[in-house]
Amino acid sequence: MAVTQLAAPPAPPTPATKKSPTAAPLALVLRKVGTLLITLFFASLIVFFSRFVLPGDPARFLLRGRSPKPEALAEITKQFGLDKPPIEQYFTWIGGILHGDWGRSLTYRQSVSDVLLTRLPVTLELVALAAVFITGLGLIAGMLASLNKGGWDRFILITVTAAGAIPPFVAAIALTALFAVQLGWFPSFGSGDEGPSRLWHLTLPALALGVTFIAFMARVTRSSMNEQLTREHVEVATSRGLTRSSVVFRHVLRNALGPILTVSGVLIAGLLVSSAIVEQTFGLTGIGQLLVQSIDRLDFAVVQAIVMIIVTAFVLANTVVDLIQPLIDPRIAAGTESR
Amino acid sequence: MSKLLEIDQFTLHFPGRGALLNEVSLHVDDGEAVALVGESGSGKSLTTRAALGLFPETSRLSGSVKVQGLDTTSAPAAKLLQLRRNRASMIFQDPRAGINPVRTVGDFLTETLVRWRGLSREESVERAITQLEQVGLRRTKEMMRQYPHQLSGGMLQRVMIAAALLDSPELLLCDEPTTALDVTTQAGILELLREQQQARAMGMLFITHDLNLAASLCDRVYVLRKGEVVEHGAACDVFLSPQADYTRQLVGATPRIELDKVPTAPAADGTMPLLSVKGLGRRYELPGGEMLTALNDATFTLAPGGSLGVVGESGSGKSTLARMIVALETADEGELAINGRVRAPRPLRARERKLLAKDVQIVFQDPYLSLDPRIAVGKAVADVFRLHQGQGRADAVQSARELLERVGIGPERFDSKPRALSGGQRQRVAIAKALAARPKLLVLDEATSALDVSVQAQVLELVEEVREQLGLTILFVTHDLAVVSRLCAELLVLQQGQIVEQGPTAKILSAPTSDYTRTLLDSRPRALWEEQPA
Amino acid sequence: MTLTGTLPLLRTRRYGSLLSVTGWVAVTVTLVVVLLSLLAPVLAPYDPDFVDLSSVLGGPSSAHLLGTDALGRDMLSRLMFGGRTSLVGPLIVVAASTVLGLLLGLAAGWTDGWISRILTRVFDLLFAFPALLLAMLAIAIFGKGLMAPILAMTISYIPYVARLTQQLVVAERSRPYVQAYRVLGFRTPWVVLGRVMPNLVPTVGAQSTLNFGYVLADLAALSFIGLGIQPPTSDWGAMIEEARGALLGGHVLPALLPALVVVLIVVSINVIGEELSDRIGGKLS
Repeated sequence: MAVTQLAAPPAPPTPATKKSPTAAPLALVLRKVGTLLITLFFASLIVFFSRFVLPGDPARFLLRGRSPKPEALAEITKQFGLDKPPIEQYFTWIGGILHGDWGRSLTYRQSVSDVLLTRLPVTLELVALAAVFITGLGLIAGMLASLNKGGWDRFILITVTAAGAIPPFVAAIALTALFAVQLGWFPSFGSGDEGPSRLWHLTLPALALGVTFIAFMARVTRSSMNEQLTREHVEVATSRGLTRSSVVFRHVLRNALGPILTVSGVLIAGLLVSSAIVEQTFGLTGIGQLLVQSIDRLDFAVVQAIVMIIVTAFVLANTVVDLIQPLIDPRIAAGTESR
Repeated sequence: MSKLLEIDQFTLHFPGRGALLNEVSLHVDDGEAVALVGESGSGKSLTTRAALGLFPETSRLSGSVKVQGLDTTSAPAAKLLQLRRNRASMIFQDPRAGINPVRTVGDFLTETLVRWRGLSREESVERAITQLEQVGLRRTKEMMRQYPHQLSGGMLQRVMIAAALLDSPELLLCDEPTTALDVTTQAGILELLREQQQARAMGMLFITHDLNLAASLCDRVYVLRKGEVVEHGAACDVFLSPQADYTRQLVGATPRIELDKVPTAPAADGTMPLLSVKGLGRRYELPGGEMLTALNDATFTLAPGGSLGVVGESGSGKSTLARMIVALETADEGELAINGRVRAPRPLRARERKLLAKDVQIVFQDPYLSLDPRIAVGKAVADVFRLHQGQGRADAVQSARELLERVGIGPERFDSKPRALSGGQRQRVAIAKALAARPKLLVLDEATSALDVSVQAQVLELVEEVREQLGLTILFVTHDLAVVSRLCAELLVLQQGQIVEQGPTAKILSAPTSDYTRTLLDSRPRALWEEQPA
Repeated sequence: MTLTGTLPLLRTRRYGSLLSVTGWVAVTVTLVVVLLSLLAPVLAPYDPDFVDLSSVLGGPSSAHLLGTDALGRDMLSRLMFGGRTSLVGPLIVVAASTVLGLLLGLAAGWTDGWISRILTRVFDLLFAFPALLLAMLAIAIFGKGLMAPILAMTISYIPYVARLTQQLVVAERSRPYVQAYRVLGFRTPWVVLGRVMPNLVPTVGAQSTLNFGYVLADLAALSFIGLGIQPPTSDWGAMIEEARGALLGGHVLPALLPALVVVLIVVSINVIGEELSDRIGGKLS
């Protein structure tokens, strides 16, 4: 239909005197970091004060499931400073966190930070391996689907729709049943020792964890690239005589990265949290499994700490994504955020 | 003499659907400028893209499209690449969409040079800079490192032209390259194109929907309608003595400044002006802190029954003024009064709005977004009757039917949703909605700018009719002086928020006092044969 | 309370072909599962908790259409009753978060002052908490079961709905037709609730349909690891967990069947949600 665009934006026709693309990168970074810290502050408030939602004696709450002997109650009260006002308790907690003191675990009778540190590597490795699968398989599948309409596209789309509906725990069971029990290629339990054994032990869990997200990544990649393929600058590039591969790499993929990156932020949240389920299922000694166990054993100090860690990791990841965006799309750096 | 571009009985269709292009034949010789004129849906873009071998996926072709003998409908990929790189280039309509926004201007220009000319990076940059200067740009070195969003539309289009000329093509294809630009910028681009085309003796195929433009640039013209060539010949012949009905209709609909047809203002009889504006001003704060003056010290009056044209380019403040009149924006300073009622300097309350609605209404530019997509057009108009004329459901429907009939929307369309109507029909409905409130003043904010030429003429006719029959006062905001000359007795010229000229239309158009008005008038495309003595 | 999946059926006449063939298949599957679950007390052949140690891990037979699990309980009945717990949770979460999200998003998108700013900040803050995580935190405080995670997940999903609504409202506000309503003198509450919102609800609804699948998967996961619904109540997630032993011993059905149902429902809901999204997106442009 008629596209005689005569939009009247209130833009002054001052040519070529606008700000440079990297207007004030430092200011941008500082602003983002500031937002990060504020978000973390409020998040920590939520995490800390969440237990106050429940009425009743906080000491008994923390000792649920264990014998509430008077000495134990007194001990708990002293340890957590329960006789002090809530605000003060909060600041003690926060202060402790920033100094590396995350409290004591009732189950392990150790400092929480000790327990966490021993388990962190497994989780990190699991998530990293899953991320490799996701970016590798997901991106490639998405690109294939977008560039080969017809054959590959339908096949990938169907596979991906089905795979995306398989929750991590179902994938875990299915993969275990097939590859561990039936075929015996991979172990079904435990995290193994450092090195190749670890990798071998983590393969199935990482796949189980990644299945839904591989599907998600594939679809986002596919739709983002499809959207770019219809853009006029792609047609212009083709009309100037660039080869198909040049056009795809320089103009389609490059421009499609933005939305893909944004989505990665959300993916990370899902990964971090679903890893708890996968770790529990495969008996991996990571912080996810610790979280589940601590909830089960009513070890609240540990739960609080792990939730805080995951939230921090998530917000941090999103901030990093936000900071990378202007590098990919200079319009965002200039403040005219649009696509 | 071999033809540079020869399209012979070219047909394009999608399997299972009608032909988008039907046996189109045209040719362009070396060094010749040919125009391809048509409205939306005529197939002019498809035809031009065919010359570069850019066909829509799954389309079926027959006939031939030959560029220097090479038939793009059947050429192997390697030959097509060669054609696109060396022999033909295309300039697209919207440079902001056509240049990759995440890469620099320099990258855009040099990517072709580096890739297959085998030039080193430095040499490519040199070449690009030279070319940029040739198309009239300054500070080219800096520009190479800038991103598209930092440049204005006019500059970007020059960049696009530079890119097209980089490989010294023999055939230049232009797809409405000036449609997205202001009139003054457009004039500069057209001049550049004409200059380059002559200097390089390139063959040029120029697409446009504007006959005036075609006549100002090209020697020969093809008129395309619904995928078929309905007429062709020398520009002056087609324009001055059109053979086909459609061409005649198109020529008739193309707005021209005809000073003897300008309406006259009603006699000044001392009655209170309907609209009175004194020292009106509005400023915006831009992201980044700068203040932008959208409107400054606007002062004028409009008598009842009068017609005022508000003319300006983008950024002139004309839309801001229109929106302030209907209280969609609030002025920062100055006074605005309708029928003697001074507007309060703050956003209006519901009751005030309802009262104002009976005084003034507005019709917007975009026919596709002006109507609620979910509501049938008849109901939309009936709702206004119920609100303002206090009518019951049945009466309102009756009134709506009558009013819609009057604006040219028949009863069979009463229950249609907007998406079933064409652009012109939607604008008619928008006008009906506005009229249902029985306003005294009707503001039209570029109400016909987004419509095809022939449709625009029909809607303008409707506005004229309605004005006479209902005794409406009109305020028409537009960038097009010809439209104003036909509809408005008085004229206001805005430049960057300032009124630079105002008074009777006929007087201003024949003897403008402001330089800017003169520039606006001069920028209008003039037919080639009018420039030289026959 | 109707499931979003049934709406298209009611409007077939007006909209013609709303969904593709796949879409209608998905609707059918969803309906079948929902009906079987709803009517479980009436239709189920056995009591789902009836333990019969004499027919442990039996395959499909005339007595037990889908076989029995490790405690001899009838699989079909357990699946049907399991649907009631597994489906009701996501339904509450999606319905509540959609309604609240629409209202809050509307407030955030239509107003310009501090209300909008504060709401946006609150959304940003809630975004920092993934739904499953907040659910786990809630369970840590309130104890195991379905109530805590349902409440927590509702709260986590509100910002997603609200943010989408807010963006849509902001876009619609500047559309000429909305401004025309204002200039024509129509009252703002009527314009917002009667004209703008109905234009948005389909898009938001389609997104919420997709959320249903995510919530279902998450709640089932919680039951799977023992933090959600407690045995002996049948729930698809819990059923899968209980069947692990049988699975390792070579008996596939007790684990496969609930897994299949979960995947089937999530796929169907996703297909419906996506088709609706596409359809609605195309219609408004």
